[in-house]
Amino acid sequence: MLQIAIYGKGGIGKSTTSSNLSYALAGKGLKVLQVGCDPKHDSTKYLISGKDQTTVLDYIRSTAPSERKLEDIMVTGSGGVMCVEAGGPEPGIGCAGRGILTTFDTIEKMGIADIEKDVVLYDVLGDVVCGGFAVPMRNEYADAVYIVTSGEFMAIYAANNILRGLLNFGTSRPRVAGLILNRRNVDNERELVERFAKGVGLPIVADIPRSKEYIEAERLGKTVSEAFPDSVPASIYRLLADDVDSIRAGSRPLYIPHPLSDDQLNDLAAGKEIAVLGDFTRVSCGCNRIRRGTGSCASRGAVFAAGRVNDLPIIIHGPASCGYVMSHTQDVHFLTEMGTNPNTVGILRNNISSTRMSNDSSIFGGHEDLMRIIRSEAGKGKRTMMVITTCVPGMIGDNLDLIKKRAEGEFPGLNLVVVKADGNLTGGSEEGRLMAMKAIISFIDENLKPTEMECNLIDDNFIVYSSGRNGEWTERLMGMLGFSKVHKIIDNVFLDEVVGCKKNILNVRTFDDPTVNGMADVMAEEKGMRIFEDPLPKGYSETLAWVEKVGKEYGLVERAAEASETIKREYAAALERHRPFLEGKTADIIAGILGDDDWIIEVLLDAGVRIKNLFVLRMRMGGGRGPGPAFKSRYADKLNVREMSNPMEVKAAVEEDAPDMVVGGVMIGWHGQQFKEFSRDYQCFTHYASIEYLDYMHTMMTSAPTMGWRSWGGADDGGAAVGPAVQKPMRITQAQIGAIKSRMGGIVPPRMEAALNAMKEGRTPEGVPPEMIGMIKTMTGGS
Amino acid sequence: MLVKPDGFFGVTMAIEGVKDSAVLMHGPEGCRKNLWALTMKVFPRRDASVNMRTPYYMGSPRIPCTDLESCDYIYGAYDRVFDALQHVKERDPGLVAVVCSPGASLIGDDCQKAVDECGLSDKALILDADLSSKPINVGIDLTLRRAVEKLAPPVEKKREGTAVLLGNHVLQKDWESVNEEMSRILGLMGIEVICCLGAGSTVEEIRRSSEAEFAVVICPEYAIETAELYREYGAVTVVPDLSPIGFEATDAWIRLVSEKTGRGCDAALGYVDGIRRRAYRRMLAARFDTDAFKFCIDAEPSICYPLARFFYDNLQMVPACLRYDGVSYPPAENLMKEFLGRIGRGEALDGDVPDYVEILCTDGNTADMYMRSRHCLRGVDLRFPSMMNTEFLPQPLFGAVGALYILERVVNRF
Repeated sequence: MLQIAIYGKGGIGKSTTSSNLSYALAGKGLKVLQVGCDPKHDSTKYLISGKDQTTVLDYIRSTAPSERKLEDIMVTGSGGVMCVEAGGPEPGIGCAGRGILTTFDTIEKMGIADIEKDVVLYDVLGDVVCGGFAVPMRNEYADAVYIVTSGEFMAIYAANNILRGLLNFGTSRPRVAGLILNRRNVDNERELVERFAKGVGLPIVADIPRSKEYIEAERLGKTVSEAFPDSVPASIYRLLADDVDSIRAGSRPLYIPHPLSDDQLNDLAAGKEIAVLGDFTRVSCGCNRIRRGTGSCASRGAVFAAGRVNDLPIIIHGPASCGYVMSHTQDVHFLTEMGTNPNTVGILRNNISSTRMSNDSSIFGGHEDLMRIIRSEAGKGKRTMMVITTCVPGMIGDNLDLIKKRAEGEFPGLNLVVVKADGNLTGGSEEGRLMAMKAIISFIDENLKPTEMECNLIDDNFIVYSSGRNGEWTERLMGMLGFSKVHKIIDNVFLDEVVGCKKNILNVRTFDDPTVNGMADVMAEEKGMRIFEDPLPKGYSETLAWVEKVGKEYGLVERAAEASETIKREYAAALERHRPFLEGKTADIIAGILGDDDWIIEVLLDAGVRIKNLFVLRMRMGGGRGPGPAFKSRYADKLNVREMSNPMEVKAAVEEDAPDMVVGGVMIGWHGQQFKEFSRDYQCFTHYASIEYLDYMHTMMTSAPTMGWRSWGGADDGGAAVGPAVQKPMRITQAQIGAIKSRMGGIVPPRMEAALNAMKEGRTPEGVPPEMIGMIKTMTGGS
Repeated sequence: MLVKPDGFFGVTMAIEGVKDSAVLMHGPEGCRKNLWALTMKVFPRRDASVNMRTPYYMGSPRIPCTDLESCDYIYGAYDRVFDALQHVKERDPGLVAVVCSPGASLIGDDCQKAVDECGLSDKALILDADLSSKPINVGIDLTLRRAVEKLAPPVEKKREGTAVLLGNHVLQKDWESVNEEMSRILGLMGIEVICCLGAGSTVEEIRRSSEAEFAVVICPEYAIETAELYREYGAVTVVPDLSPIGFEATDAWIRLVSEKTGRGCDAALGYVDGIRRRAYRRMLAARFDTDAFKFCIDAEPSICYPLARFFYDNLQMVPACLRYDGVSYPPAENLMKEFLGRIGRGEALDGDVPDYVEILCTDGNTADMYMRSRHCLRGVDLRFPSMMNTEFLPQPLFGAVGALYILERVVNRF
């Protein structure tokens, strides 16, 4: 069987050529299948007497997979040619390319391969060269490709584009059969196409003149080959059929495409001689930098932010998987907060829904999916709702402005807020969060005056703030200054609280962070809110300074002075209690993902801990693109700061240091290394964080040296079968074994005992998990 | 959780349920991130050769990703697929699946060509996003069928007394214990389980699964197509109407297996009876009052019906809301309709979850959320396990021990 594809610019005569060629091939006694791959689905029209037929894409929308039958979409036309039409969406909506992909997949599942046939002919719209329309070019489909062109420059341009597309599918075997000149009677038509053919190294296999017989044949609902078999065009199609037969027989060559460059095309159009042929270089986006993960997409960021308004319905416009990921993420964050913060009140939001866009929606557009959900929410009485788009509607071009207009017309009083996050087409999570935040901030009533002794905290996610006891401590500090309530803008709030938040006097950012700052700027510029200059303070000395500044700026000097005295007294008492246990201990610090560890350094130094090294992991700013911000610390000139970009490098350096404690070691702890990791740096706000950290360090220093559970697993536990690391056997001495046993209080698990003996003999221990090897390495200082 | 995992998740997690497999996610990292977290939660695997710097893996040993950006949607990303596959190949997994995200599916990159050029044709599947927004069970079932077709051609000679266990998956509540419990029951019938398809088995075990004399299904919604394939391979297939959940349905399942395979079931029924008697003794000691408690179940029909009957028949509880979330299985659905009509509770089917209900059986996170927000007294985690909790004690949902798990969740208050 031979599969051929007929490509060419829209309107150039591909369908006419294809159907006449199919008819001519059938006339040679061949069994022919013609598949029309154009949304306007008229490829086979004149093979089936001008009638419409059910397209594949219409059929799969209305028929369950179990009920699908090939005969429902395949019509036998003139000469016995089997006719299939892919179909597609209306112009301007959906994604026709996706439709072609789906058509090929569907007819394959329906058993098209089992139909007896000699030639399959794909008639493909060729000036649209997205991946979908390129499917017939793939190696598993077209054995030979004909390109229909005229002497019009745009037709030649499209032909050249098609050759470029073919080049992207490899040059391992020649597949281009040649050009078919379908004349439009432009000046010097043959000469121009011949020059192009010469330039790209292809033959012109047919030269079809214009003829009035086409119009008459169409009127009769037939191909010209059927209606006027003695006409000139009909005889040319028969010759073309002979050409196809030669390809079937392997008696004529096919060609590797040599598309022209843009400059060469310009030369051709200008009538100049085409410059020397060079290899066409594939176009790429130019993004050659190393990627290391965007983190989440903008849609997820937007949903994350907006989902924190408890009574705001959020409609995720996209596939159900996106809806699941985003609502699941919300649930996990809420549950995490509840799990780490005993003061969190559980609120059941259930405010996220999905339009559940299917493959069909990707082809035909998702307008109706979205309207269905809007109607459902409006039916529940909701009059404010937010739509957040994912990448699929972004790519297929769903018109959200139109839908908003339509929905607000259908439901008077409806405020449909649209956030066009479009998956990662507009950026990562941070961009999405900011987009949603701006939309939510627009709800704030700018006419209110700040009159209440209450505080608005500004953050785009409140993940850190809501962890551990940060919230409790912040409220306690605010209470010292006379602020009776803390509102989280925006987290765990109701729309009314957002609308009325301008009446609260103090507005404070939780972090000095681009996204939070972006939010604060919008609140200041668009709503006229006064934002306090400094973010929430971390640790002891920052809190003292912050309290004093608030006192001065808001006329609370006396209260601030009292608060300062309390803070100093509480911190001094904590130091007195814990310093005796910490003094003289050594520490390495790995700068945390928040990039601000000064408050911890202060606690360590105040407690008499000696800091050996401060490692700055340059890839630590997860989520963003590009390098993290430059490292800043008020202790930078007092400590030994070492910047590194590879966590494994840091791990090795820490092993060499062998400190008593590793602060922020969780980044390298992931790699199975055993350290006493002091990771609880997320509880950072106010001086209470410093007090808590002293207690935490004291407690940790009295805990067991390692997490013993890490040695419980066997080598094959958890599927280490995929690519186990090749490790050199490590040799240790009897003295080292003695030291390990002593460090473990004389109790060594049997498997470790066996491992130690094997290492002593220079053998690779069998059945020992990597964690245990890591533990032994740490305790011996070995490598 | 209003939005449940869909067919796209099913496709990915079906492959992730094969122990020595590798999924390459062709899409943006956002599509991969949650799947990565989920797979590391339900089926954690370490791979010491992957570190933070391994391209496309981005710090995790599971589900490397082509990390598409906006320009890739315009220019295509074939090169990234090809390059990422080279890194996947280095780790020599037994099965590779290139899973295209819904967005990447619109680009139309020729992933098959990339697979062929990487020399992975004999062990790689290309899985498109056409099951996006379809029920998850369809994604799991169809994908596992394709994996078996790829890896395990039919063999004429069967190994007597062996079975491939179907209809379990790694998003099922404590799937490892489900394998153990159901293998134990089948073992008491003289049937040896040689492969737990999609629930932890290796590629080699899947290869050998076509030698199995029997193909025994636990939860039918997840194995209609795969069971059919094994039937075509010549295995005796056992496809129940109801999953073995609760004592009565487990008894019925055992009898069905016995009838289809010709194996005796006395020992297996005796095992269930022993556990039932243990449950009875515990119930005598329990302080509970479940009579007239209302319950909601959000689960597949073949789980929903026997669980509803377990509550209704044994604990005097009454259904308030029963949902299938788009999953269909007519044999169980018909039984449910008949049952609800008989007890005058027809409105419970597909009804809204009330503001408060005593017992809520659903996915793990939703069960946690409802309990923590005091919208239910007890939440029972059935599938897509809670990300917050980890099962240390065996907690299979199915079989006799599964009945104990359900009782423990429902009867205890803390």
